[in-house]
Amino acid sequence: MRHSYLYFIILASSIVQATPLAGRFTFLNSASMPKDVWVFGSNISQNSVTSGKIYNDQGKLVSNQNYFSRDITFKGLIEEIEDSFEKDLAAAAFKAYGKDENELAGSVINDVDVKASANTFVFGRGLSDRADFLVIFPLVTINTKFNSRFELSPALKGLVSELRAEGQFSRAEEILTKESNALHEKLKDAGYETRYPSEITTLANIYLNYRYQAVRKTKLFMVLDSFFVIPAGETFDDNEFLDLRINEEQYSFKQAVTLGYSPNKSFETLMGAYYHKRFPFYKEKRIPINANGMISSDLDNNVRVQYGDSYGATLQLNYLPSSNLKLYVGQTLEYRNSDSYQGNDYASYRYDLLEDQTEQRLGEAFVGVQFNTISLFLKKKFLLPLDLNLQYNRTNLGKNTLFSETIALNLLGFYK
Amino acid sequence: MMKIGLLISIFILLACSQKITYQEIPLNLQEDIIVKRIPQNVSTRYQSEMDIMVAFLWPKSLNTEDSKNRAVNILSLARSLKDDNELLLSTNKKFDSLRCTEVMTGEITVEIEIEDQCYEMEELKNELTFKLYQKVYKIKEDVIAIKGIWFDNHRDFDALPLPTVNFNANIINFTAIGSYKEDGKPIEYFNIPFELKRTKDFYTLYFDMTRKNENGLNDNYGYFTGKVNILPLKNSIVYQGEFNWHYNGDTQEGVIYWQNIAN
Repeated sequence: MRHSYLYFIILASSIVQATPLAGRFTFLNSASMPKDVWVFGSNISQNSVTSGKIYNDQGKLVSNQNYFSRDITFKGLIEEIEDSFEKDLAAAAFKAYGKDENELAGSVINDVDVKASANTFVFGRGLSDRADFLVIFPLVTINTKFNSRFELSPALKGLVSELRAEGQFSRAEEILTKESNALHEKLKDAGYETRYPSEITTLANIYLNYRYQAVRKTKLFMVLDSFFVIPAGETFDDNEFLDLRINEEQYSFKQAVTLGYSPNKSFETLMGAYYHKRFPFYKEKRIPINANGMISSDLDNNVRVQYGDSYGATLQLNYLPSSNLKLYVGQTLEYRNSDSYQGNDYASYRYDLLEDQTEQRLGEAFVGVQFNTISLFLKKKFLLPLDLNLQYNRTNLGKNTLFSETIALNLLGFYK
Repeated sequence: MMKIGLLISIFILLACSQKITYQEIPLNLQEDIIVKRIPQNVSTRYQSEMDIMVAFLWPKSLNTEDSKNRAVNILSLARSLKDDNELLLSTNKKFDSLRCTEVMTGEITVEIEIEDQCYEMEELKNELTFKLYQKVYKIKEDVIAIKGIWFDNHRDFDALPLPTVNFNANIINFTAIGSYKEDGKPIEYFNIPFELKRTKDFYTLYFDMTRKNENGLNDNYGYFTGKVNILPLKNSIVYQGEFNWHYNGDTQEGVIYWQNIAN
């Protein structure tokens, strides 16, 4: 029971995440609340990817622009034409102008800038001296800036010049207009909305957390956290081209275990691990035509979707200069399996394209300070029993994850 | 109970605070400007009568390897027509400037070198004319082979008045776009108004006309739309672009090209 009340902290943000892995507040503790004590609190975090970097499929840190952009050949341009006659005529025209289908036609340059902030609310109660029940609901705000353009290759520029020189001005202009509005045109043709959510504030799932302190010895602690995740908040349909996956979209279950070892009053070592199991569900989904892009007008209204399970481990070292203050440093490592998509309306390789770049890896280092007034409150030296936790974390490895730096503030109040 | 109430209140509060702001993906469009008249230096520099012409509709599909190859061939040949004709016209011009017709008929006497040049040019003219119309014929052959629709034009009929583009009245007269099945006479389209638009540095001529079937006028045979770019050259002015047939809610794409000779 030593310090269990004093060191209790709710890891609001640490368990709160959208389906993909992303940088966030992480803090391990092995304590539980005393029976009948209520806790309420809020965690505010500001997550920024203004550095504009992302870990690619090979785990290399590249610019957002590099990650989201791609080269396209003349063959790629032809493949994007849906009407078969137009497709064949375009292929014939490229041949007539001496363009090899494997020649580079240009590059689709996508600039994506995302900023996210979260305000997570926590309510809970100590059910016994070893068990707690908590309800956690995060409210997230995501700001997105998106810009897409098509840069013509020298070969395509040459074609435009040739067309102009031959008096085929409209054809040349068509290429320029089409390519300068490549995304807009493509979205319109495929029946998407030609807008994207530049700012969204929404609830992102509800977490029901049952916490049980399985081992509570002088130097050793073990806590089991079981989470039932209820999907909640804003969802986007398939007509929205920007895939902001904020919600789990289906019920899921997460189990975490935290081990704590405290050799003396000043130091603690904590190790945590979790497994998040996601279950399949069925939804309407657009099925990409080829690897050139995800935009497609082909709809399958009964796709079996299973977002990848995620799992991870955390190591955290605490230094306690006093009973009120804790300085900590840690490292997380998480993995998320590829998503799985299955359907019967189209060729299976097209469903597989949806799975591309969904396997993730994320490592984060974090450092923080926790201050609580509980012991002072019990000694009647402070007005309220509060717990304050300020943290900075930074991604240090990844795969298909954004590089981010997060500053988070966690504030909890207790009541009996 | 009070705490449960508090919890519910906060949930409601949260639900109310959900919001989304959307932003439209910017669209860059080049504006066309409708103009009443083409610049005078263009309208007066070239004859109103049309010279060479090619007009056809593509088939509805190009699904065989042969039709794809022929489409490449059609486009490649069509690309070269204006340059071939320019060369022919410049040769004609030189031929005329040397008064070669009179030289060759003996009406005038010139130095032997000039006379030789005239005979060489006569030969070149014939060669270029043959080459040009050979290409047109090859295009026709390929269009028919891939089941496109080829339209005979004024060049295919004897003693037919030449079609014209009238920039004073903004009217086109086609003396032949196809022919009637029964008597083989040309199908003419007279007094077709056109609209001129300027985009950046070029002009486009737009027109539409009710299509006549092979047996005569028929209001239910759809209509043609033309969108033709104008390219002024030294010896001619080139009109080329889309010539589409709209029928029964469907559109069959086509091509039209003609050249008017410089004055």
